[in-house]
Amino acid sequence: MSDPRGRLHDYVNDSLPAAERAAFERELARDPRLREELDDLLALVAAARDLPGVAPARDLWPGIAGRIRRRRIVRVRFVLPALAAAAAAAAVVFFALPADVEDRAPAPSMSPSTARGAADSLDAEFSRSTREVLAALSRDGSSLDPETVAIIEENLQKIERAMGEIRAALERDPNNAALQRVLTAENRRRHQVLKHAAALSAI
Amino acid sequence: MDALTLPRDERSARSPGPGPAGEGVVARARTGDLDAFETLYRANVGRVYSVCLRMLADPIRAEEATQDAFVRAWERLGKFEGRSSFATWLHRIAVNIVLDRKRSDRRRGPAEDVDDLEIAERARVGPEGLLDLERAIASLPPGARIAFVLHDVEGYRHREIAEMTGTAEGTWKSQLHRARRLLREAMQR
Repeated sequence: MSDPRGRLHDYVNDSLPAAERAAFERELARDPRLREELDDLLALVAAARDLPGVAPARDLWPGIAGRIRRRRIVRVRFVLPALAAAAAAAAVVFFALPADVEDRAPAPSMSPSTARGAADSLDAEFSRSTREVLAALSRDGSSLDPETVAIIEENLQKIERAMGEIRAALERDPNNAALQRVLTAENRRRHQVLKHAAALSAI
Repeated sequence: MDALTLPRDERSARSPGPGPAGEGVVARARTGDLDAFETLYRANVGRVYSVCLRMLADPIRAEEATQDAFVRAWERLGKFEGRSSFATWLHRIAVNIVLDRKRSDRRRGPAEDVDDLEIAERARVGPEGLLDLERAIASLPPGARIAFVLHDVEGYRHREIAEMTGTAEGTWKSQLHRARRLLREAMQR
């Protein structure tokens, strides 16, 4: 065996392969000096593991809480107004629409072209709100990390894709009430995602 | 981040991270409850400050790093997935903050080059020549000190230290061996 002292640390770290470990232990039994070095090392490692925790000389919480609160204030000052405006615009458009556009197929009294026009208007307003919310979330000072913003964007894109397919189907069948309902439902989903984004940012 | 394992962290009596009851505290903190986060701070500050202090060997900078660690943890709570304990996750944040500071230190200039004998002499303190291990650790050169603190005090493996620092395992093994040798020499004086 080469100089066993070169394996002292690996032995202490329990990182020697079994055969080398056995050879090292045979060497230990023959060499009291090596045994002594090992004992010193083991004592040092044990002392390190047993070191007690050290408390800071002062309470650091006030400083931490202050920094967190200051960041919240900055966020409220710069981010929430934009989010609130976008969410409010979305909500106003959403709830100002005739109930039959939101909840059921266009009423018999509403011509297909009127219902379609209302749905298109709603669609355009939601698209604008979406852009505003995403822009606000991406700006410096937003409380949301890039990963969260990416998840929100991904969800909105999924909804957007679904709505694109519904719009294409409506082009082919403009009077299809069921498709109108699905389009409205997708708009509602998009609205929920926007509300979620605003709520997350307000945390 | 959560892939890192801290072998002793989960079993150490010094690790007061939230147990089953603490998971609720973490969940409340994730919703923005600052009082809950303070509870987490009280439970973990000793361990976070200890590792910062031992790695930096400077109480003022250790306090700053500790505060940074908790603020960063607050900001990233949404990313905490619970794959490790909160204490382990927080500890890793603190270690990374200290390592970032050490990198900045290195960019500003070379570390103090101290003779090994002088280091061993500095470590021999206290009445009747008794070794004060804390002071001995603080006297180590920065690389050896970080290797010793992370490996022998905190229980990280060489592979984990290499991953965190982007430096080869062999480098950290050498640093650890140097640290142990210097500390043993100090103990034998």
